[in-house]
Amino acid sequence: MKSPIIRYFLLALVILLAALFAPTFTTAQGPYPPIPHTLEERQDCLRCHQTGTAGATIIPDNHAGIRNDVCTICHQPADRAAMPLPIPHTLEGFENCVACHPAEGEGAPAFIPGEVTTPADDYPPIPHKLEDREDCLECHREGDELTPKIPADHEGLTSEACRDCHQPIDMVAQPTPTAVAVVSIPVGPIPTPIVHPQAARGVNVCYDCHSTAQDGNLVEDADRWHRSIHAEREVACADCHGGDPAATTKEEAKAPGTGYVGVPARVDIPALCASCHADVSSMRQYDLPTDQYAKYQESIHGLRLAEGDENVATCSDCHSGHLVLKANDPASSVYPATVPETCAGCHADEVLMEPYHIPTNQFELYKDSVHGHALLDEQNFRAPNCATCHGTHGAAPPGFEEVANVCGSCHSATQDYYLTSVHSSASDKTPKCITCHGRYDVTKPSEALFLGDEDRHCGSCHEPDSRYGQAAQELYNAIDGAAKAYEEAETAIQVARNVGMLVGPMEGRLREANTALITARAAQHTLDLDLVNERTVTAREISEEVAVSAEVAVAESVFRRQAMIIAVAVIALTVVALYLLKRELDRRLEAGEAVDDG
Amino acid sequence: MQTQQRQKSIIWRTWDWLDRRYDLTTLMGAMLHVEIPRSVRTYYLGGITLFFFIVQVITGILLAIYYQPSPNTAYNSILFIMNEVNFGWLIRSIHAWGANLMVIFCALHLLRVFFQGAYKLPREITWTSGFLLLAVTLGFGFTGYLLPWDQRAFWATTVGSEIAGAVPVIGEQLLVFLRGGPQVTGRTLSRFFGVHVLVLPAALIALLAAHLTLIHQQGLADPDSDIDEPVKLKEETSPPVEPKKKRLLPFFPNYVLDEVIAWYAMLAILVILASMFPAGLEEPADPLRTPEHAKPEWYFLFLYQGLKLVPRTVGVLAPMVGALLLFILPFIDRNPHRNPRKRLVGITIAFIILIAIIVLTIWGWVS
Repeated sequence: MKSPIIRYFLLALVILLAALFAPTFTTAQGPYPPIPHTLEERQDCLRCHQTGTAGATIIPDNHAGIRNDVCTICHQPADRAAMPLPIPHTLEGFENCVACHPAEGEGAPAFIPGEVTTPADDYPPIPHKLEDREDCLECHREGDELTPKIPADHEGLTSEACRDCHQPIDMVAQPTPTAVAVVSIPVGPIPTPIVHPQAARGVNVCYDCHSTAQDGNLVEDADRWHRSIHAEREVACADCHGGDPAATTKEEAKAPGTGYVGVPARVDIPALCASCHADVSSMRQYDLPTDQYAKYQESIHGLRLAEGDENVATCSDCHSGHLVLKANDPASSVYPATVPETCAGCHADEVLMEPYHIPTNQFELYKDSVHGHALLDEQNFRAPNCATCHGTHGAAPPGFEEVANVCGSCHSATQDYYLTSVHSSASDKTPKCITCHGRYDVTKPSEALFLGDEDRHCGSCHEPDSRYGQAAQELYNAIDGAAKAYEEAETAIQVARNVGMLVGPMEGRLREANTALITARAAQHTLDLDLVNERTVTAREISEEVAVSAEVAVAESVFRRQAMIIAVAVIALTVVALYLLKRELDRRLEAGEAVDDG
Repeated sequence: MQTQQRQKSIIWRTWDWLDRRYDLTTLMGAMLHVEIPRSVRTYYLGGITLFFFIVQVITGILLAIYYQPSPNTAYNSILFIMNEVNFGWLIRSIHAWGANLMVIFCALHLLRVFFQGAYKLPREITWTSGFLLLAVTLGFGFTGYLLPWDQRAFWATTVGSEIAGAVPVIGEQLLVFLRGGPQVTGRTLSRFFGVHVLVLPAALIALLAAHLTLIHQQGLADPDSDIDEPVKLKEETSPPVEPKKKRLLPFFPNYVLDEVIAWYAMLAILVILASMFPAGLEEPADPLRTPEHAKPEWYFLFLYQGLKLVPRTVGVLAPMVGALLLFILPFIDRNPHRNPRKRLVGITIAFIILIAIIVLTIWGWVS
C-alpha cells in the first residue's frame, strides 16, 4: 500500500478477479446457444446439423472434426417450457427423418423451431369446453377411464402448449355415447328447400316490417330470429316461410309465385329443416353433421309424426323456432346442461303424456340423481343428460339388453367386469345396470346395495339365507372391510396432520389403497369373490399399514411435546438460577457503589 | 499464597499459561470489563438477534450434513431429515422458526435504535452496518426458503424473484442472475444453496464483527444523558467539561448475565414452537402445476402486495428508494435531537411507513 505501484497492482487484481467471476454468475446458460428441442430420438446431432437438413442450424467452421458425444458438453437443451413443440407426429415408422424432411424442403415441411406447419386438424380435437379446464395436464397427465392419458412423446409439454395443436370441437359434433351405439342410417333423398325470390345481400324487408309491427307476437319472433345463429349465417325469414324478402308491401311479399308458406305445418317442419341440414354440401362449411333428419325419422318422435301424431317433438320444439342457437351456447335450449329441462318441457307434462301411458317424473328423479347433481349443480359436462342415453335426434329408449352398452359407454371398466358375470345375458330375466342402480334416479352407490333395505339391494331378488344371499354378504364383508380400513386410515392421517406431523408420504401410500378399493368396487360386478378379495385385501393391508404409520406419528408428536415440557422446565430452572445470580450481582454492585459514595 | 497457587484448577493454570504468553487478561479486560450507563434500554433485541444467528449456524451445519442440494434429491433429503435422522425434525424446525424470529428481532432492533435516535452522530456507520446485517438476514431467508424444494418453496421463490424481474432496466438480467436462467430450476437451487451456506454466512460474520467492534469502541448510546442535548463529536467538546457522574453497570458479568437470561427465554420459545408447530413440507415442487395461492415468505409479502396495487415500476422503485433512504438515514437526518418529542416529522413518517408495511403484509396474508 505504501508504493503506488502496489496499489495499482492490487486495483488491477481486483478488477481482473471481478471480470473473471462476473460472467460465472450472470451468464446463466453459458455463451453457447441452447438446443431448442428435446434430445429424445435425436442423439445424432451431426446427422442434421452437419448438412442443415430440415432447417437445422449448420455447425460453425471451428467445430470441424467434433463428434456427436461432445455437443452436449457445451450445448444444453433449452428450458422445456420455452421450447417449441416437439415432433408433431409419432416417430414409430418414421425413424429416418431425412426421408420426409430433405434439406431442399421437398415433401414434409422443414423443421423450423417454433414454426410447426402441420395443419391443426390432424390432432385429436378437445371434446369438451375449456372453461375451468385450462390446466389440461391436471386430468390428462395421468388419465383415467374417461380421460385419455397424454402420449409419451408429449412428455415435458406444459398445459399452455396443448392448444397449439388441439382445438375444442363444437359441442354439437361432440361424440355422445349413443352416437357410438347407433348404426348409421342410410340417408334418404334431401327434401327440396322452399323456392322463393332472392333478395340482395343484407336485404330482408320481412324483418324490417315485422320487427317494428304492432303485432306483438311477430315483433318478438323477429327479435328472437335476429339473435339466432340463423340470422348470423344469413338464413332469413323467407328460407323457412317463403315469400319475397325484397318486396316492399305485404301483398307483394306474399303474392302467389313467391313460395309464401306462412307458418309451416308441424308435420312439414323436419323436412323443412332437413332441406338445408341434411345437405352435406351446405353443412360442410359449418362442420355440422347431416344425419339428424335420417335419425329423426327412425326415432319415436319421427315415427309418430309420420303417423300423423302432431303432439310429438319436432326440430323447433327442442331447438326453438326462431331463437335457434348453437348447442354450445349457454343460452341455447339444447345446451348440455339445459337439455334435461327442455325434454321435461313435454315429458313432465302429465296431460301431454297421458295418451302415451309413460311416466312424467323422469326430470324430478334425474335432478336428484348423481348424474343430475353433477350436470346441473356442478356443471360437470362429463355427466350424462337425457340425450346421452336416449340419443338426440334418434331419440328412443334403449332396449333392456342395450342398457349395459349405454351405461358402459362411460363406465367402460365396470361394463367389462359386468359382462363376465352370470348377471350378464341377453335375457331380460337377469339384472342390468338399472336393476340395481336405477334409471333416472341413479344414486351414488354404496355398500348398502348389498345388504341394506334400499329398493334395489341384492335381497330384492335373493333371499338372505340363500347361496346367492350369502355371496352378497361375502362381497359386502370384503368391500366394506376395506372401505372401513381406508376411512380409519384417512382419519388417522388427519389426526397426525392436525398435530403438525408430515403426512405426505402416508397420503401417497393411501392413494394406492384408494385405487385398489375403487377397482374392487368395479370388480364386484363380476360377482367373483376371489377377484374382489384380491383387491380388497390389498386396499385393507395398505390402509392398515398407513393407519399404523399415522398412529406412530401421533405418538411421536406426544413424545415430542412431553420432552418439550421437560426441556422448558430445565431452561426455566436455569433462568431462575441465573436470575438469583443476577440479584446477587446487583446487590454487590449496590454495596460497592455505596462504599464508593461513602 | 503458594498454597493457593498450588490449589488452582487445571483451567486456571491453562489460563495462566496462556496469559503469560499472550497477555489475555488485557485483551479480556478490553473486551469485557467495560461499563455501560444504567439508563441504557436495549431490550436485548440486538443480542437476541445474535443468539438466533448462533442457533442458525449450529442447526444449519447439522442440516447441511444431510441436505442434498439438487432437484431430484433435495425434497427426499428433507423427508429423511424429518423422518429418519435422530432429532432431525427438531433441528429443522428450530432452523425454520429461528429464521423467522431472527428477521423479527432484527427488525425490532432496528426500530428500537430508530426510536431512541441511537443511530445519530457519532454512530452513523454502526447504523449502516446494521442495515446491511438486516439485508443479509433477509437474503438468508429468501435463499433458505427454496431449499426444501416443495411446492411452497418453489412457487414462493418464483413469485419472489418475479419482484426482482420488475426492477427497471436491469430487471431481466437480475431475474436471470437470481434464478440462473429464465425459470426457477435446479440451477436456482444450487446457486441459492451456495449463497445460503457460503456467501451470506461469510458476509454476515464480517458485518457482525464490524458492527460489534464499532459498538464496543463507542459504547452504547445513552438515551438518558444525551436526551434534549444535541449530540457532539468528541473533538468538538472543548474544553472538556467535568463529566456528570453517571450510574454505570459493568458489561461483564452484570449486563452479559441479563443477555444470557434473555437468550435462555428465547431458547425456551424456540423449543416450544418447534415441538408444537414443527416445520411442514408440502408436495414436491412441480413446475407444471401452479398452486392457487403462490406467495413469497411473510417478510416479503408487503412488497408483493404493493406490486399488485401500484404500477410495476413504482411498486419496485418505491421500496428500493425506501431501503436506500433507510441505509443512509444517519446522513440525511439533519435533526440533532434524540428525544422523540423533538423529532416529530421523522417519527411520524416512520409510523406511517410501519403501519403501511404491517397493513400490506396482513392484506397479502389474507388475500
